[in-house]
Amino acid sequence: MGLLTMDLTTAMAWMADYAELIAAHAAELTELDRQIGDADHGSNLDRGMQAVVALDASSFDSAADYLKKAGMTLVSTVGGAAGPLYGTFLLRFASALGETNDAPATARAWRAGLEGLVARGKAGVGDKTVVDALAPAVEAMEAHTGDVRSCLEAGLAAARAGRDATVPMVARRGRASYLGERSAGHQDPGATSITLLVESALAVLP
Amino acid sequence: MISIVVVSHSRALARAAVALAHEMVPEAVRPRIVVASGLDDETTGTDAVAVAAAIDEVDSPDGTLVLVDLGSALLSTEMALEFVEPDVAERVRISSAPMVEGLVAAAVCASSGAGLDQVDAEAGQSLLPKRQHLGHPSSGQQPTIRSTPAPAATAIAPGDELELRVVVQNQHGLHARPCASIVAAMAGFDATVTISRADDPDELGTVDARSIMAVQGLGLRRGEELVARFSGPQAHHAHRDFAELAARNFGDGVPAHQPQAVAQTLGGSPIVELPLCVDVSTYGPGDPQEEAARLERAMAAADGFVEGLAARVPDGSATGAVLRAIRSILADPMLGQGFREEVQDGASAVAAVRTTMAEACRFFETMTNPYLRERGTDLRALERLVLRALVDEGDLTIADVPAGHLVLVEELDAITATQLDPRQVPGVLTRTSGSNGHGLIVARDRGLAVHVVDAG
Repeated sequence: MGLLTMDLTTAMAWMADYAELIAAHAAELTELDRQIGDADHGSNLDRGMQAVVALDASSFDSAADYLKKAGMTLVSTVGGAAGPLYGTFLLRFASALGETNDAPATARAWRAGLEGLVARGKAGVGDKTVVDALAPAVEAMEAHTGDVRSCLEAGLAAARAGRDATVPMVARRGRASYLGERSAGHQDPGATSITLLVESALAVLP
Repeated sequence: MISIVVVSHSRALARAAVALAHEMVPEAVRPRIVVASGLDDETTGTDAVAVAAAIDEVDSPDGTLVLVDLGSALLSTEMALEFVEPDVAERVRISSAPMVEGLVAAAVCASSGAGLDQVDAEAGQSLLPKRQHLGHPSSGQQPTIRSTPAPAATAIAPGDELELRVVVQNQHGLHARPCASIVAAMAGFDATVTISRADDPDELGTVDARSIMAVQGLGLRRGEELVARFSGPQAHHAHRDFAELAARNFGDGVPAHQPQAVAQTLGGSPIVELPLCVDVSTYGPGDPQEEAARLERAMAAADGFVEGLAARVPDGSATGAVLRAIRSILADPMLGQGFREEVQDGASAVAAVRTTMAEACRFFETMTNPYLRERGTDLRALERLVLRALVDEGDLTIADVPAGHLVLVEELDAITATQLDPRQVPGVLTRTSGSNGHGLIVARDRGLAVHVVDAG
């Protein structure tokens, strides 16, 4: 209890680290998307995250303020479905940040983000989407609320497992669903990029 | 009029689609259409903030329909509805229609002044014509003519639902214009009217008779049979007008044979003819000043008479609206000026009225808009009224009609229709009465049965 997880500095570090990870994986994400989508997930997210890190740091009072602005920035700059989906995730995540910044609060914020994202995309577990990594990650976080680090570690492990489990799935949502059975055998780009978001959250813990 | 927002991944695509839709509607009646598409001119993508701004920009009490293309266009639009004020969001519908087809259908429908629900429904039907076309391969150019031709229109009434079966006689089948006639004729009734193909016994393809896209989508060809069903408070009226319209080949012109529906409904009632021509043989013209004064008095009398008719119909009724429109025609400076010029040139008041009205009729007849073309009926009715005011300056009401008689009238105008009592007159037989005519509107409003008969 009492360990700060999400002050403004941490939130900015999280976004900066995620922007770097996305830049590093942009080609890989786009290649995954080329196999089952429209080959723009990596470049879209990269464009969006570059816009987020370009935000004027001095204009924010709190992590919540900053992450809301980051969410709106993604909404306006990503262009593809990841814009409204990641945007909604960050907006809801930011709104759920409360006074306490412990592990249960961390899990609550991730849960709020997941629920926003599900409400927006209307995808469920097994549809071969971002939800397949994020939903088990949030459940794992909620099951490990001793401290923030172990909470996020459990979340990351579950996200990776969930991401890998998308490979044999047949897409039922998003552009990949046009492919039907042919979408099986490919890892979902959204599940891949959200796993990186958990990875960044863990990496920037003080 | 509602507004339209187009949300596409590509700004160029959205702009081209809007240009296509604009081609379908004249500028004067075009709904406002704005584009919230692409991240910039080249970068594909959608932006919920831009969509929200577009929705705010075109917001009006009539509401906004949003047409979207793929994936994130829908997500961004849904998100945009969370960004705008809740009362604005309540006036917005997101269409499930394919963007191009839906946009064209929505623009056409909106330009007619239709409300948001109706435009949304129309856009939602916009794939039907294409589907129907592909589902009914056009290889068979020969119409399917049944060996025993069904009557053009026969009516039965199982329970509280009325049914009408019509074999399409139109040379080109039920194309856009006849479909538009059906939609227009059924629009005013408090009744549910559906149409299906007779060769679709499960009626899986049943459509709303008020959707031009859907009715067209039935793809009915010449010789094919449709089944129309009517229910609701005004089912009988809708049924009657549908039969009347069918007998005239849905406005495409009367087929060579006498429509049987009419013959069946005459059922033994005696017929009395209401002559329309005004006897002006006794008219003695005075000098131009006298003629001008008489004309002024006659026009005032005619206007006062129509005003008196209007005062006796319910406020807000269709009949009242038609009578107001007719008074405004009479008040048109073009007519008054025409009368005066003719009289100044030495014509009698009678000749001045006839010449000027004939000119005005010709003017309207050149119009392509069927509604305006049929204003000729109003002008002829006004001509008769003014002439009668000139010759006897007395009572302008129509001749007494014996109760229980069908009234035969050459042309059913609104002024005559207002004076026929539906409780006394079982029906009106007329030789000409367009589907958009004010006489028919008044008859429909007052519950007066109208049958259009062949010129023979």
